[in-house]
Formats: sequence, C-alpha cells, structure tokens
Amino acid sequence: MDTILKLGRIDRRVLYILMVVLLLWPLIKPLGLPVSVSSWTRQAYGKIDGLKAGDRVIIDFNYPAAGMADVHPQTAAIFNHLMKKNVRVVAIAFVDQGATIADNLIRSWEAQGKKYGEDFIHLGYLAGGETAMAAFVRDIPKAVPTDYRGKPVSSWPIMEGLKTAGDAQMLMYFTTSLLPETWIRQTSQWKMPIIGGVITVMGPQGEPFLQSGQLAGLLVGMRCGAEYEIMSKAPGPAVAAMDAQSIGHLLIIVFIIFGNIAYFAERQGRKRSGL
Amino acid sequence: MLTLAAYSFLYKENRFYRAAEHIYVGAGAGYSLVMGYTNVLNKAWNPIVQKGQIQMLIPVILGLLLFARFTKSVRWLARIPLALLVGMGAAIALRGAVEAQFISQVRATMVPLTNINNLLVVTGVMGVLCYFFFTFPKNRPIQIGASYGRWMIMITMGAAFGNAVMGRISLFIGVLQFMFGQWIQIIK
Repeated sequence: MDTILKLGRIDRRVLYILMVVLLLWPLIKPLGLPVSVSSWTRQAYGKIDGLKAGDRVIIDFNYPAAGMADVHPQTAAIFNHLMKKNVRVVAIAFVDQGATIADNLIRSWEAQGKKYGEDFIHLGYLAGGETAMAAFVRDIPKAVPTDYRGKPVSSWPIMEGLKTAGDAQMLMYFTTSLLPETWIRQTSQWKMPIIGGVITVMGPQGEPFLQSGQLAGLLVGMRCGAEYEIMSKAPGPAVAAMDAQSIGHLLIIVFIIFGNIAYFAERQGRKRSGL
Repeated sequence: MLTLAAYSFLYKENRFYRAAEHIYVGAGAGYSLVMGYTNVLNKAWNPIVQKGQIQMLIPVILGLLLFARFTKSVRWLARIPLALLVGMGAAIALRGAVEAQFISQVRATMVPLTNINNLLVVTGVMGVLCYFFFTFPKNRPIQIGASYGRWMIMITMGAAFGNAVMGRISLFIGVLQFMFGQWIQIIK
C-alpha cells in the first residue's frame, strides 16, 4: 500500500526522464513494430493517385514551424507523390511561417530537377484569414498579383487558365489551427475535392466532414504521415518515429493506470483513517 | 541550445529558459513584422505609387485608423475599421456556413441503421441534442437520451484528449529526431 502511495507521489522530473529515455531508445535502435495503414490514409491516397499528369492542385501551407513535426511529414509525403505523378502544385500560405515552409519544400524539389513556374509555383503569404481565402478562390491573379519571388503570376505557364479555385482539380490544406469548414465554406460552389492534413489534436474536428463527404480525405498527424510514406513506398522520418510513438502511448497508459490506482488507494487510506 | 534551454524549465524555472522564451517571442515578432512590411509594400504601397491605383488608399487609411485606439481622444475612430472587419468576416463565413455546416451535416446524419457505426452516429447526435435541452423540464425519455448523450460527450472528450496526447508526443519525437539525429547524430 505504501509503495502504491509513493508511486502516486513520484517526482514528475523522474517521469520526464523516463519518457525521454523510452522515446529515444526506439529512435536509436528501431524495434520494427508493424505499421498498419488506416482507411483514412487509403482514401486520401486513392484520391491523390487518381490525379493525372498535368492536373493542378492548390496546397495551403497553413501551419507554423511549431507544428512541423506533426504535420510536415504528411505534407512532404504528399508533395513527393504529386511530384512523381507530375501533378502541378500551386502553393499558397495564409499563415506567415507557412510561406517559408513551402519555399523550403519547393526549393528542395527544384534541386531535384523540377521547374519553378511549370511544375509548381509559390504564391507566398496572403494575410487576412478567411477574408483573404474568399478573395483568393474567386480571383487568384487579382488576389495575388506577384508570387513569392516577386514576379507577376501571370508570367508563369502554370497559372495559365487558373483564375478561380474551381479551375484546379483538387485543394489540399495542411494546418495546425484552421477549422475544416473554412475551406469547405469558401469552395462550396465548385464542389471540388478537398483533402485536409491536420495536427493530431484536430482529428476529431475533421471527422464529421469526412463522414459527410465534404472532405475527400483527412490525414491526422504524424501517424497518417507515416502511413502515407508506406503507401507511397517511400518510408521517411514519420515511419522511423512510429516505434517511439507506440512506446510513448504505452508509457502514458501506464502512468494513467498507476495514477488512478494511487488515487483510489489514497482515498481508501483516508476513509480507513476516518478523514 | 535554445531547445535545451526551453526544456530546462522541466527541471525548474531558470534564466536560460527565460532567455529562450524571449528569443522565441522576439524572433516570431520580428518575422511577422518583416512579412507584414512585405505585404504592405506589395499589396498597398507599390500599387499606389507605381501603378497609380489610388483606391488602395482606402484600406490603407482604414488600417491606420486601427492604431487610433492608442490615443484616448480619437479612440472611437478605431471602431470604424473594426466594425468593417467583423462585419465582413461574419458575412463571408455565413455565406457558405448554412450549406457547409448545417444542411450537409444534417444530411450526413440521415443514414440507414444497418450497421453499428451508423447506429452510433444517429443515436449519438440525438442523445447529445437531448442533453442540451435546458429551457424546459425534461421528461423521462429525454432524460434517458440526455444521460446517453452525456456519456457520448465524455467518450468524445476522451478521444480528443487521447489525440491531444498523441500530438504532443509526436511533437516531442520531432524534437528528439532533430537533437539526436541532425545535431548529435546518434539517430541514423
């Protein structure tokens, strides 16, 4: 009984050290736990795989650097898939840090031979939240006259024929804070397929829209990033992190169980002593 | 170094943590300032000065009026652009909200009760709606529905909390991959 009560009062710094050690170990020495692919990822992958070479996709990089660890693996895996299928990407950011993240990703693909202005374009950061989105979807060249590199957007071949969001074949957004209904509201007149990539915390908020068919696909967190890497046969940092994530979850479950046992033991102890 | 300084807070609050915190806030503010300046330059200044689009002066003046809130005597002027922002934002959101958030969601709840998932969706929605009847006394069937709805809410909150924990662990794994992969290089 005393041991249980002591466990309940353990210094939280011991728990932090335990967490660091148990998360780091599988990163250094992978356990090779199997990673199954969920129906959500299969659905998103299927929709993206259905795109043809030359199709245009608008991607909203709506996340800051703080959320990169959870969201960027999905973004990179999907971008990789799009580039391999020669699908053209129109990148935009409605969050200031998203513009830099998009630029880094695009430049990494330029270094691999893809051409800016033909295979992709970066329209930069557009301030204004949903108001800016509303202006963007209705008239893209008017809302964004110059791209991230300062050149007129109409001068690039990829922008030919792209006046409204409906002229693109798909819209994707990757976010740590944007509610799914924002893009759904603004593109409802075109009924275009929308795929969302969200931070894990926001997964439950997107599910109703996936279930209703308003979202064509939903990827949630690093887990779905790992699944997408597996589907694309290009395992990367997300897959490498899955062992550590499983151990981390197991650890949290153990903490919760011990915490509850200690709580009830303390209550029993107080009842017995008449307090 | 900044990552280590930030995590030093877990031991106890200290000056390294405070330094990292201030650097983070300052760098973020500086980055936003540069992006804001570039935006004003590209979207307002250049169109007015180089292309002669005088109508862009209107949003510039409205934007400047927002700063009137810092001067007591003309504080009321800030209400004009604020009212425009709030009104426009609400109108733009409402325009698509009825279809996107109401009609489509109601339609999605009308599913055949042929499998357990659909049953849970329909009964869950009805139960949660029963829970939120506060304006009249609940009879026995609505009380049962409300009780079921409360359990559904708690299960959903638990799932949301589980997702939150999963997200935080993912972010921490990202930090470990950066520190021990890119920096110390013991993760291959």
